[in-house]
Amino acid sequence: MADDSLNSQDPERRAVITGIGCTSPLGIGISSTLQALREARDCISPVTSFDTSGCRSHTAGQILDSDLEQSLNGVRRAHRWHRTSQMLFLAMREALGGAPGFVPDLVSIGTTSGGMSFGEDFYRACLNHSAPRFPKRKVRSYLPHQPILDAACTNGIEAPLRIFSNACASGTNAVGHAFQVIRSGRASRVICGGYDGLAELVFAGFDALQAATDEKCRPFDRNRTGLVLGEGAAVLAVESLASARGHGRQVLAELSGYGEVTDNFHLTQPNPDGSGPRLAMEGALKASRTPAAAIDYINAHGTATTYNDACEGRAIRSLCPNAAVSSTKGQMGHSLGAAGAIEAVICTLAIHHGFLPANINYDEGDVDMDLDIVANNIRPVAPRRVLSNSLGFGGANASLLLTASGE
Amino acid sequence: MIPVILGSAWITPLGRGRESVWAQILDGATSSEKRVGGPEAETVHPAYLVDPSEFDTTSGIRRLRRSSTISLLAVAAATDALSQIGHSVDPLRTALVFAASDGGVIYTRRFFAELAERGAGAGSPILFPETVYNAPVSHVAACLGIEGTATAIVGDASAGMTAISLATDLLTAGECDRAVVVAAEEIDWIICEAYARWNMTATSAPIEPFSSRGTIFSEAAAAIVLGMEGDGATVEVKTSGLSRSPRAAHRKLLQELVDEDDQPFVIASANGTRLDSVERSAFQILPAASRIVFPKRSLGEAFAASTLIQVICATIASQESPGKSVTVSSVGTSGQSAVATICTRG
Repeated sequence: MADDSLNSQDPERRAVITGIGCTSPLGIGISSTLQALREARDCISPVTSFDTSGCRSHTAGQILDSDLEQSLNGVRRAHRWHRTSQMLFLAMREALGGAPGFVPDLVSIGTTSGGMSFGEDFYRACLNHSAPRFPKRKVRSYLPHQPILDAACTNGIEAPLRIFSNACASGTNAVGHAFQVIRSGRASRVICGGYDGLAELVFAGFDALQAATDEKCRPFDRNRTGLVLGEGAAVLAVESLASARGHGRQVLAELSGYGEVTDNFHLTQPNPDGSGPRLAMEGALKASRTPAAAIDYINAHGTATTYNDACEGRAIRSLCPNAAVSSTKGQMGHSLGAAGAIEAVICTLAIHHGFLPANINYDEGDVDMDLDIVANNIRPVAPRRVLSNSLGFGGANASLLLTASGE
Repeated sequence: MIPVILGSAWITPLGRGRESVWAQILDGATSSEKRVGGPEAETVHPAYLVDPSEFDTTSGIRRLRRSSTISLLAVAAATDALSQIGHSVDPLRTALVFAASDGGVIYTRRFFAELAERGAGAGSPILFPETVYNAPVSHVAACLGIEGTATAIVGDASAGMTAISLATDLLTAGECDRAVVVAAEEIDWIICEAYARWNMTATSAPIEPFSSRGTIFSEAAAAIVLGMEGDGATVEVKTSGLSRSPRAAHRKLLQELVDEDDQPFVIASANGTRLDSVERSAFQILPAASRIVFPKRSLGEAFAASTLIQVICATIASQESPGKSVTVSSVGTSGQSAVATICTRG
């Protein structure tokens, strides 16, 4: 059995999650996140930070600036940071708070667009001939490493940094990398996660591709019409089981597998045969020799676009037909580089607190897609083996296997 | 376990020839200065650009017909590097790690220009997908037939070193048998304008290391193929991590090498900006007999691509002196620095 094989592994090479932090449209902090998940709350709202009148879509999963400000009260210089620095700092602080004394060997973070909104502001300043007066700190904060520097340095972290940017798979790539380096013995403790902020360029981009919807986000529903964007940050403290034991830290869940493959079908569309996500999930299962039939729950990428859900649904149906499935993007939108990390946190909560997150806005299943969707409300079932999928532009397919700890 | 460089290639403003570019760097040659400026630019900036004929090998590739310069450069460099080991690519056992700092800035600026001028609904669906940082690695993977790990690492210039470290981890863990590390950078006036605001841009050539005169940004691409076995130079990367004292951290990295070598050969990353103070401080511990080469003086600043160019310079130098290590020093804007030791077995 899979659990027996896990228990026989070297505790120095088993990767466990001992701290989590989350800043998302579901709420700031794990407690708020958990509450929103339990209530299956729709956290999508009209976009007010930029003009969407020329777009099909007008809503997104957003974090209020006032909520960020309140949560950052007392953090020196945080008011000068980009919003993504603020989100990531809060998530990192919370994750470290849950794992006292955690000193990472490595920081592994995913993002797609860094401090994009500052770049937009700079371009407009160039148009207005006011670039010479544009704040230098905003120029610096456009770069993808700056929000991580703001968050990590303020939290007292000095470990080497790796930033993954594979579009919507970035967060899962970053968390998966933590699994890889601990499994191979190259590191004992990793701070990992992802972040992205809502930006006009990205919003208009998905609208230009006609991937965004003008109504609700309906993952896997027969009448789905597209995605809703979101924003946020999530961080996980991942360490070897030996390290967790040695420091007396509580294990929330175990990272038992990770798979990543590249689908060369098209830059933005997945191969409709579902081979990309299927191979990624198989890779994650293979890492721990877990049979596909043992999977209780899959947190799907589930963006509610026609192509993604059809492709991913086909892959899930062929590999894990009996697994319960939900996409939490209906509740919070698609936070791009943060999505995989936020969803890893959600899966950790599902395992630790014993429930399956809901797939809201679901009325009717798609034709030829017979999936066990956790429709509209949570299911009070305690999953022990969970897959979390992320599929990104450029054919990036990634899947994490999280399991209940045997400790 | 230390990986071996099995093949390497570069595409630079001074050309594509391995020995010819290295000879020009040693001679202190300077790339041809071009002027970059758009209608919105406050000033026109100097830049070192790659002649399009240097990557015309990518013309005719259907996948690349709408791609930006950065993708064309990346595909050309990766293809060249692999040609040195006979183009042998196992689709699932060859990993691809791409490093960039500014990424697809040309299409990003063009896409946003459409929004700024004509509103949110005016953006081109052809431009947007090419703006993601991993568009180039996606194209390289498709052109080379790689179906396993193909990942993009972003950051400052040290991202080139990070990419090598990541590739080393993948090889060590048995996730792949070969790893292609490629980095590329393209130029747009918006980038020159932004770095000018950050007081990093020179108004004209030359680039003078340690002068704080400013640097000239450039296009470039470089690629190396790594494996755990084979004939070639070994490469070992050490990174300082996020440090509040980058000078002390970089000095400490170099000290470990100096203690073992009384005639260090260093390929430096100094680019003429205030960042050079980190290397200038660290190099004070080097003995008088040290030899230091500054490739960015000739080729300009292309961030992660420049770092891989430094590694290739060190590879060539080490092959000229088997048994002697050559050190690559890399310092970026994030405060994270790195050194790499390249050595060809004697």
